Amino acid sequence: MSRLDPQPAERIDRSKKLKFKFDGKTVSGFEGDTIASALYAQGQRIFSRSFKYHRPRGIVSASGWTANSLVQDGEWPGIRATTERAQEGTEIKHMNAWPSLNFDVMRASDIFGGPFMPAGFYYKTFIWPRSAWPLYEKVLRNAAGLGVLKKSQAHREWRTDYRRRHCDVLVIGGGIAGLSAAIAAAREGADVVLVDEDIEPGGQLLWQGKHEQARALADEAKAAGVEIMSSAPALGYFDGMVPVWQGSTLHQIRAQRHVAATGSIEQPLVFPNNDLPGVMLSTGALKLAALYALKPGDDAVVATTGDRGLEAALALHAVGVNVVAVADLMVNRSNELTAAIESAGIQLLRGMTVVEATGNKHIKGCTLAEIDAKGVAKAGTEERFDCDLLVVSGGTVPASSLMLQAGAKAKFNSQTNCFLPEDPPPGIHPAGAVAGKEELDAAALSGTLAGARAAQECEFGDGSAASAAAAALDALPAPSPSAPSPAYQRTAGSKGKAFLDLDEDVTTKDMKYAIEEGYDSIELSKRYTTVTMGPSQGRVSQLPSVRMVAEQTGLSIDETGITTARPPWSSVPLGAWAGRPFTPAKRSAIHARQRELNAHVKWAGDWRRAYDYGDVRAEAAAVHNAVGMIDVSTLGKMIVGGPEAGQFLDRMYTNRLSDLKVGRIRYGVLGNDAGRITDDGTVCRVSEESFLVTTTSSGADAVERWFTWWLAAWEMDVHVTDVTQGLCAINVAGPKARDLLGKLTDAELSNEGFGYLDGHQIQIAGVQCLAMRIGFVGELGYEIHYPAACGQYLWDQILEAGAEYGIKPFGLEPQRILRLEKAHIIVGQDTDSESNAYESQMGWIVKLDKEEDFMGKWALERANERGMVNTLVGFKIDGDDVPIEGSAIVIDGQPAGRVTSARYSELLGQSIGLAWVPADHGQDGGSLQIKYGAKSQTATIVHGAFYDPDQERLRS
Amino acid sequence: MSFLLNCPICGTREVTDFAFGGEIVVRPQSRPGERELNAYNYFRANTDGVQREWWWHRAGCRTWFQAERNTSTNEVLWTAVPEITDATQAPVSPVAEARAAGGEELR
Amino acid sequence: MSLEFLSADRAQPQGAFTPLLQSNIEAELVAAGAQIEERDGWRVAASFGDTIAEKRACAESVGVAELSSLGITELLAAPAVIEAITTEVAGTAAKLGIAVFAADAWWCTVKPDRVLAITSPADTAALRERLQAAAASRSELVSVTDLTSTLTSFSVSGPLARDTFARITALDLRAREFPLHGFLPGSIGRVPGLLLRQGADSFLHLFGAASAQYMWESVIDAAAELGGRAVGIDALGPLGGAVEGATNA
Repeated sequence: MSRLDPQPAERIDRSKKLKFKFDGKTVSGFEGDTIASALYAQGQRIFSRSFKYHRPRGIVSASGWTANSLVQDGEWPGIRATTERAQEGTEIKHMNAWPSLNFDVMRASDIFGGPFMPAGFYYKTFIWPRSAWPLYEKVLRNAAGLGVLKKSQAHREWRTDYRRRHCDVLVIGGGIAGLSAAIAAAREGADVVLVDEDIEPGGQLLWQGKHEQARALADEAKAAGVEIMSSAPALGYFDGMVPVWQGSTLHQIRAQRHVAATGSIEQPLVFPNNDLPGVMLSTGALKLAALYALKPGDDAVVATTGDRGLEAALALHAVGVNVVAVADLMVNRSNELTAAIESAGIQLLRGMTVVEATGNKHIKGCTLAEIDAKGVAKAGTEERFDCDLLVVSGGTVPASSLMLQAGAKAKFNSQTNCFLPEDPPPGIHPAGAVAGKEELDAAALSGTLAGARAAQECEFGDGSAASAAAAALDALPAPSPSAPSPAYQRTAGSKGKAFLDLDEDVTTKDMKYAIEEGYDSIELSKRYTTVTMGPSQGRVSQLPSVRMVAEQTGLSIDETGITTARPPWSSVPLGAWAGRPFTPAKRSAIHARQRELNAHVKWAGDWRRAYDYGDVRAEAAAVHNAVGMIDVSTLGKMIVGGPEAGQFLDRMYTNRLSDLKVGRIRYGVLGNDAGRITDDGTVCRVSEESFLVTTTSSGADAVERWFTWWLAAWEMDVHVTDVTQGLCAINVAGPKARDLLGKLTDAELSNEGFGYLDGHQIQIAGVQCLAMRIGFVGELGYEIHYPAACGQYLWDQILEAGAEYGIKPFGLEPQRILRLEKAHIIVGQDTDSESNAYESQMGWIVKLDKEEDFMGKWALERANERGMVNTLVGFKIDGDDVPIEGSAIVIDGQPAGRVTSARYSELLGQSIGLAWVPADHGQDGGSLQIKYGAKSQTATIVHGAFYDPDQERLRS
Repeated sequence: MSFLLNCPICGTREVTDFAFGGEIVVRPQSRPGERELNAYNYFRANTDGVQREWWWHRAGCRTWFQAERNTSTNEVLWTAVPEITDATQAPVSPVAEARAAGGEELR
Repeated sequence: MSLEFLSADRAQPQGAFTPLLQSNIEAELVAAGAQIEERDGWRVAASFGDTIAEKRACAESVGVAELSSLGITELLAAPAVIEAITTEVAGTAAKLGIAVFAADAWWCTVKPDRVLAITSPADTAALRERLQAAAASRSELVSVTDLTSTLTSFSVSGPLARDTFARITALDLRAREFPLHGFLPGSIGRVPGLLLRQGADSFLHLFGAASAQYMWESVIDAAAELGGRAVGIDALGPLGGAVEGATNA
């Protein structure tokens, strides 16, 4: 096949040839071709097989308004061949046909399955037996042929990105209205972005012989400072945020004001075999000719309801297409266009339309006729024409989805025969065809008006530009009317399938059945038949389906209403929504060293932490027998300072902290006013007016938030500074800890000079540290806090100095064993949002006699009076059969509690754990039934620590 | 949900910059009765309409402030750092006061 | 003073011990080709092997430098007290939204009662001591806290610096909204951040030090897509600002 002579608006560069493969065969085209235009030039007419019936499908809109043109490009399924530029060397394959587009065995479902596959067929047929669904699914998925996605992909192998753009005015749509709006707003001084889904801005001007005007407008906009983004569909409207997909980048555009210039979508006509390749919208035929210099057919018939089809007939005639006949459903139209058609010698049939197309794999002919109110051909008016191109134009619908998502309401307009969005939310200005201003002059003026108003609302301009545009718009004559088309036009007794929705293969018959079965509202029938739910979001199927529902139910089109297409309005790969991957991980300053030591690193909250260094039991044993070191830099750390700091802490914690002496440490539990434990940690009085407060690793942010919330309320003279990330903390623990530290510091370390729960500022290996004697892991230990900039240095020094004692770094997992041996709780693991201090066996830390009121006091007073319902107890089981955390505690055959923590302690030779049990079943020495699935274990309750209950080792 | 919120200190930001502090609840000034305590701890108006609430600029200045927001439309009417009241109670909620006075105009 | 354990610059040689001050992510920087040198007592990435190319990146695309050695001192006090102290120490009052450069430090107001002073490592201890002395002379509550290790700083400089940030933050960095010397708290890379516009195309990004590796990977990835690269401090001016004359003002 060959091209037309060079067309003035063509996008192809004939000096640059390119080649790609389609189903293994080489296709040659020009730079600027789409995949589809290059294929069309070589004679390809079938581009896909349909979703359900596997009927051959061709180009309809050349704009991606149907799923007909979806192909697989290498690893990418679902590529729109009609809008995707052809690239040198790509491997394109068809989708949804086997073995080939030309011969598809599943076509049998069309030829034989027709009467047996009505709407809801899948729902009804494949539901029983339920167990067989996985098998059905596999077969059906293959039959539906949605392309092939790669099973796995390396991280960031496909790079999607995110870009934020702020602007004053965002113009969505680059047709004449959008360009006019952008120019008007930018001239007033606003920062304007214009996004358009086409390859270049200009919209319909580009293929309607006005490409020079389009390009001049685009240049004007650029000169005015507008950022124009092409091939960039807007995907939705989210509280003023508009995501726009371009290339592999998701642009999140946040504008103060929006101009919706999304244009309109030409609508097809519904008649038997309206899906045959060769049946095209006038948009499709004109785009092929004007932009890609392709002759869409040799012998064409045009069926239209308005001026648009007449213009198309003339344009096709001008490029050498033999226009056999033009059927205008309007009986009495007589204007410049009709005159031009008649003077060109083209047969113009007023009051007629197409009632059937014929052909097998491509259209061969059609029947035109006058129709009655129901759309049935009047006897004796039928006329048959041979043709290889049938151009249809059933009017247009506004592309209003984004406005509807923003909250506008769709109202049927009987003059334009379509739904127009009304009452847009403030800040959204519709312009052009989406606002019913279809004619070029009106579209341009409404754009200027919208752009100027939007700019004015951003405090640019004095409003005179808007007033002038509004006056000029009012002075324009009324647009040419279009004839309302029936829901379904056909010959009497016609049997061929007439499609409402090409994507989903929904026919007029499906809709009729759906309504007969009671799905008689548009919302229900949509879901039942899946009409408008295909990849093109109802662009060319919504109005036909609404008309069909209206006709079947007897309601008016207005009463029937329309559905709102949800985001994304244009289909994009799922990865597009991800944008750039963000997984903010926190790491201690010593993290790299721990990796070098072969730490197993896992997530702990939002931190990456060393779980162990390969030998959990040896690491735990080192702490008991010699010395171990663990990086606890993840602990939340806050400086709470000021003359009222102690008083403030008294209000926040259940115990008393204001009387803490400088250099001393106390454990504390944080609660809320419901008396529940929310966090815990230690408080060290560093000086008269400053405390270092530690929190759990995951609680730092929440505790800062909690403290500052009450400070905002109470206006106390207290300052809070979060220094979590500025301090490294290493816990050096074990009987040799003191000897080890003695090698690194001259400071007093004796038990008398530096006792349990003392916190001293000392120099260790030259680094200023706060060393605190704390015993979370049950042995003599120093928790050393020091600047993160020295993190790795001091870690190295301790490790080196500890070598002679057999020091081992230990991870989180051995720490969990060690703390369990001491029955120390982990807030959030052993407690939940219902746990109070009494039931958690920490009644000793609640000081109800504090002078001042504190968080949770009132609830704890009541809890204390009422007594415990449940209680947290320790338990032990001989041997190393460790119960699974979360196992049920069973009493009299009923679940009555649960295991929150359990580990095997090599030191004790027992499995130990913590569990919630009913208070009257929690006596020391009592027995517990633990059950998980079929597994049942008997455990003995232990009160207090399992190891060193008298704290002799801790305090040594 | 991607509306904007105006931090009284930092200016306008995406709502994802902030942590929600819930509707404003008044902490009892002295030991409450059981009913009052439970109402304070567990009962919320869950207003469909305009409510006054706490927000924390987590990703920014980390200031607590109050906002009046329509919970159905996410329209934010205003934001402000609360007027500090005396040392024994949380900031007073005008919404709660209006409700206590039988006022329904905030819905 | 009472909180010396927060200050890395208090570390001193002691007997056989010579403390090192270094970045949380020195290992990552070295893996990316950094030449580590000691400057003002800190081990810093002086260059990534090609200072000329690094300077060119800062002039023509975007250069990203890790500057955790920059000193950051927090001043907490009532707004009037802050004004008095900064006037006493730096001869100027800090303002919300716009940082001021005085007494060799950037004075950045996070909120009216919280100001951060950003200094080169050589000046940090001296400034902290002056602030502490000024605080001690006041009757009101004033807190001076060393946050040098708490916050990591990246310098992001070059004509594509703004585009780099557009990949990782929703903040509005248009010149109109974020003027020269603007100071802006907000989420960057989903981590609480503080952004200072030091020069026309030169930004200082401060954030919690524990996120340094994640942020390095994120910013470098975004910059590299735009033709930018990691740069050492030798490619930059004082405090990680752009070298004068290298960018269009």
